[in-house]
Amino acid sequence: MGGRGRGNPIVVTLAGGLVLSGTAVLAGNNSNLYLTTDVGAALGSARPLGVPIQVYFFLAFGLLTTLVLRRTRFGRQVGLLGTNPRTAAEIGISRVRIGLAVFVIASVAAAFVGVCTTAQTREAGVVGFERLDVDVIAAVIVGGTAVAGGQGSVARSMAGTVVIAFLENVMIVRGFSPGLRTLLVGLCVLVVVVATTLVPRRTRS
Amino acid sequence: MTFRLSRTLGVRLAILVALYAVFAVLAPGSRGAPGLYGVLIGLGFVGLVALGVGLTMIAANSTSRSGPWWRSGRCSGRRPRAKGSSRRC
Repeated sequence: MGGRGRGNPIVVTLAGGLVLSGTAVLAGNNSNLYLTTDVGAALGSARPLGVPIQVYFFLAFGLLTTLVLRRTRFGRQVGLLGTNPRTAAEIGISRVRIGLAVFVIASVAAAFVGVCTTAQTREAGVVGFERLDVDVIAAVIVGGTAVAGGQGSVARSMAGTVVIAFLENVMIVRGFSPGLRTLLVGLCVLVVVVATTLVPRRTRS
Repeated sequence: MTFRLSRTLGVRLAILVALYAVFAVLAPGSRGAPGLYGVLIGLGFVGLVALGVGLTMIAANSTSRSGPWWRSGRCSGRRPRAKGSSRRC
């Protein structure tokens, strides 16, 4: 909820993730659960037309989010709340309601990824997602969504995701160590931030 | 719905093409269908979560000075108090 006020959504996401994963480790005694049936296996391993099914989910979610943001009243309220929260408050848009809704949508997406991962690996555990938060935040920032919030688009987030996924894949294929991969992802974020903020400013001046 | 390629999105796509070109030269294994398939595997998981986090960031404005989140709705703005009124909004 802090993300809907003056808290940074990235900080809220990281802190919330740590709290939830710590709680899950404590509650589950740090043990993994193993699937004994094949129910839902298609969510993890299906390849329609040779493409992993998660890519279809990604494209469908991106298209749906774009349509909602551009064509619905809720989407316009989300955009206005980010760009001009004072005006949004003046016309009676509830920050709590909209904030809850977007965090619930983000949580459902993250939970769905957990379900797909479980279906793919046939086991569910808390550990194994350490790289995911780094990659996700890098993808969002590379996509050009403002760290302070209020600016960004779904298409740009998708473009940032493609950049980070490509970079990660190449580094894994080349056998780079996790440390080197983190270093290079950080450098990529820096390069994109510099290229998209300093260069246009210089052009304008 | 019309789609216009914005400048910022174009910069990202240009960086992606540049990255692909660099790694295609440095790592020939990343070229072609096998390399593309590896990208697609990682794309779905990271992408779904990234879209969700991106949505929360679009809706948020952490630089806003309109007050904490619990003061939502009409009273969250800094409206001037009416003369002689004890109410905040």
